[in-house]
Amino acid sequence: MSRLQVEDPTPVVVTKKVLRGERNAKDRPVGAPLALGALMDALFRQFVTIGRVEDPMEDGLNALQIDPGSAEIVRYVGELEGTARSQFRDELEMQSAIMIDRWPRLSPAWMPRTQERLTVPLAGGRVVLVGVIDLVVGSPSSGSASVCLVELKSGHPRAQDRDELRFYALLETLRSGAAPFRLATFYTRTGQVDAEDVTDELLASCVTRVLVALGHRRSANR
Amino acid sequence: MIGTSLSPMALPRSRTLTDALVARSEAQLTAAEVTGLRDELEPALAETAGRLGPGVGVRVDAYRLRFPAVADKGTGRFEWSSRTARRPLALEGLRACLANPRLAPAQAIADTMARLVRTTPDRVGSLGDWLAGLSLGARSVVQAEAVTWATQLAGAIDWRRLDRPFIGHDRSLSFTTSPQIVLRGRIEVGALVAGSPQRQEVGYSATALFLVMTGRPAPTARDELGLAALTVALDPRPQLPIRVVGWWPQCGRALVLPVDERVLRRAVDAVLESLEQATSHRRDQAVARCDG
Repeated sequence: MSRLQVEDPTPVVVTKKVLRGERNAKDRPVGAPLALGALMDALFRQFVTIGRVEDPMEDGLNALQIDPGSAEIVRYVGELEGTARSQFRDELEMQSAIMIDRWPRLSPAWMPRTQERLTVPLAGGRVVLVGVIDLVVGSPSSGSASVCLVELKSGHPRAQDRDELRFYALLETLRSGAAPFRLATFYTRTGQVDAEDVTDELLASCVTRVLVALGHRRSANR
Repeated sequence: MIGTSLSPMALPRSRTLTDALVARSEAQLTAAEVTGLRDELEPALAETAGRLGPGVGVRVDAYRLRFPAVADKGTGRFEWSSRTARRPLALEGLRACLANPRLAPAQAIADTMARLVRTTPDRVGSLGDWLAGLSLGARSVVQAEAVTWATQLAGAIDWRRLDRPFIGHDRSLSFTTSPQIVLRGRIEVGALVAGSPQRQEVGYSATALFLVMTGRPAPTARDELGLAALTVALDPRPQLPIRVVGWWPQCGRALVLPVDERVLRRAVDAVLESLEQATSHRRDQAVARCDG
């Protein structure tokens, strides 16, 4: 039993972007890589949920259009013309085909859920760790690790991809009381899956990264 | 400090939450106290309703208590979206899962959506009508949102320990003297609490309430939970809320609020305060319109 931590009106929000040294604000202009990533995320979600994709461009845009937060991406894709549009469409269709070919259909009994949002307040709500996981598989823990976290990437593999998932592993541990047992990044350019087991050392290193990021934040605000 | 928060590290989570939900409890609220609260609240709402003006309605719900400054923004007209559709779909899917334990939430929601599209698209404005008009991509988002929400709730509680739970136990309440003010309690699960001394009181059944909350606990959390209890207490159906368990799946936190007169009185105060803000906001809007 403990005091309930309540929301601080102006908490320090830590996201994967903050850990990368970027600001939280939407300072990244919409370009082809960002739009492609958003569309592939939507198509992955659709594939996991209903098991099929018909027209990648149309399905992806329709999925994004229902979310007002994606308006800028929808507008960007809508304004693509000529070669840029056909190249974008070709890349999307190629990655979608790889995803459908390589990603298995998950049994509903595995409890797959997509775009699961984690919001973990710490220090009395003055710090909030935030993340959205593309796919969580497995029942809630009954005392031991029971879920796997999956992130989808439409770009080239980067060293920081693992760091992002480790951050999500920390969030899931803090939220549910049990660490996930495995993390996996699915690269839709190649169909490759990069997986690693979650260990105490991995989580401890992530805690250190969060503390370092908070330290940088504090220095920058002085 | 009213209420107790559960440790997020206690596992399994479903056992901790279910223990908190169905625990035996001494009677803390009487039907007479509820009657007394109703007698105080009703004239206060009637007075506020008189200041609202004709044809102006206000819904007091947890959202208004939490975000009083933005509750009156927007068109005020209900619209279906992936956010507004996920809860009714998820609750319907969860009912199906409880009726058939071999059914997983993902399958139950797919079945629910297919049935709604098949059977109700002629009813304009209904969920089925809205779903039927969606493209494949948009419908997949709605389905995915509902599956995620339902899976979280399905895993939060040990359902075998609840005796005929009510799934989707919402209450809307208004008085004849102030029909334009509606108190709305959004309650995901209601469960009868066995063995409570209250259960024997003049035909009233003691009910524990389980609420799925959004985001992380706000300073208004106890008022939000108290409002749900108030709507059940004042509802004509003979149920006395014995406790409210609020659960925030995004952060794993939970708050257990035993319901007594003090909690309900605090909820009444929060309701009246939010209405005061709503009336002054609308007055300012009217003045601005006249000035414009």
